Amino acid sequence: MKNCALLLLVLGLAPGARAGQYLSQDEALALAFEKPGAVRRFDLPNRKPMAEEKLKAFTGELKGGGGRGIAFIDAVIGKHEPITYMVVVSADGEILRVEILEYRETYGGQVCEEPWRKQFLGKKPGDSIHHGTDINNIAGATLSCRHVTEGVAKLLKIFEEKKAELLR
Amino acid sequence: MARKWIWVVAILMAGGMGTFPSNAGERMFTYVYESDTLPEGGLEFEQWVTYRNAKAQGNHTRWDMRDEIEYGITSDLQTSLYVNYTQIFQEGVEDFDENGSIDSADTNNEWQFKGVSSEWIHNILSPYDDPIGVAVYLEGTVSDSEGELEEKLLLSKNIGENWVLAFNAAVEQEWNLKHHGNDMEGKFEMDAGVAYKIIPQFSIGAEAKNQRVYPENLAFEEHSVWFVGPNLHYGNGQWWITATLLPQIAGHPDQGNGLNYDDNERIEARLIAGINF
Repeated sequence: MKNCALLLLVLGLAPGARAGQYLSQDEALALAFEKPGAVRRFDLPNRKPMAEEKLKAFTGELKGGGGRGIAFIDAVIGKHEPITYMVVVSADGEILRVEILEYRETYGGQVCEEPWRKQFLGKKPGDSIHHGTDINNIAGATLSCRHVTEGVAKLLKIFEEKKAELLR
Repeated sequence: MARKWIWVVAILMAGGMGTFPSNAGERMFTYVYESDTLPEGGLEFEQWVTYRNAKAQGNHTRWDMRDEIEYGITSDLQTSLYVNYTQIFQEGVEDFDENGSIDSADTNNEWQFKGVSSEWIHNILSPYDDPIGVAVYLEGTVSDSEGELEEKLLLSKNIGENWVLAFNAAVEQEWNLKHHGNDMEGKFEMDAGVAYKIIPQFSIGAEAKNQRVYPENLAFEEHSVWFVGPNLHYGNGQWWITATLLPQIAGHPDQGNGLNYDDNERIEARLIAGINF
């Protein structure tokens, strides 16, 4: 009984968003596409800091009659561990959705919360996407905020370079 | 007189810049604190072990242990509670009195409870987003024989993704609670560290400290010692461990080989392990 009370105390004191898998890849694609089973997958060369891992891009008909679009699934390093995230863009590169699929660290998980992720919506290639100016920081989650922001900006650049190939 | 002004300025800096400071979360160093604090609601347990070995002669080892619980009250204020204890083995070690002459050569092997400490850190500027990270720190310790207050100014800077620099300036006041008259012993300490992250989880670095002790209400400088040595750090999303080896490289007054053994040993090593909840 004492142990349970201590556990409850510990969980109650700990920060809101916690480490864990929030969405599987299939669940994430189901949020993005009308027919997630019918999407095309591309494995693209990645860039730092995840240069060793392939960047995944999926193309298909977006949900809600948004036409064809792309969902990128990538990872960035938070402080020590990778954060797996998805960015969904329309055919003209507008960001429609940012989701965190898996967060692996004890602290900094506030990037998983919707109000922070919504700051990216509507951004397009060429828009300024910088942590601290265009995208607000969250105290206590600085590195996660910075690195996810850098990751989203990187994906828009990759979109510009690869859109013809991906949306062909 | 100038020495007393240094103390006054240092205490005013610690008090005026923030009030009640304390200790950071994950530590890249074991002697030097960085200026960032735990996130609001963050909870961490840390185990400290400090090993000290070798006086000028005889056998001497000392283990200092600290069990610490740390909590982030807000995103820029954290507090910690410590339980402190020490094990000393000593045989044929000659202590020096304040005149530098041999005092005693006792043999002992004992555990001592060294009291509890309350520590507070208030972060003022971020080491990531501001030109330099700044925090202030206050720690109070009470045991059955001594009372201590320690104030620190913590500076640190994360440069890019790989480099971490940190510097601390600390003053400490210590009272012997068993003796009437209660002369205060003062300490002034500077610590510095540099670390390089080879990968996000692992870093190598170096730390240095200089400590000066002023007994009898700061009447004179009893000794000044310098330590410099390497440090290693590993951390993942759930726990971390950091170790430092600090040999004494210089001490004044010289009590043999250019070193001082008043309250110091030839070598110190500290390990701190932390787990996040």
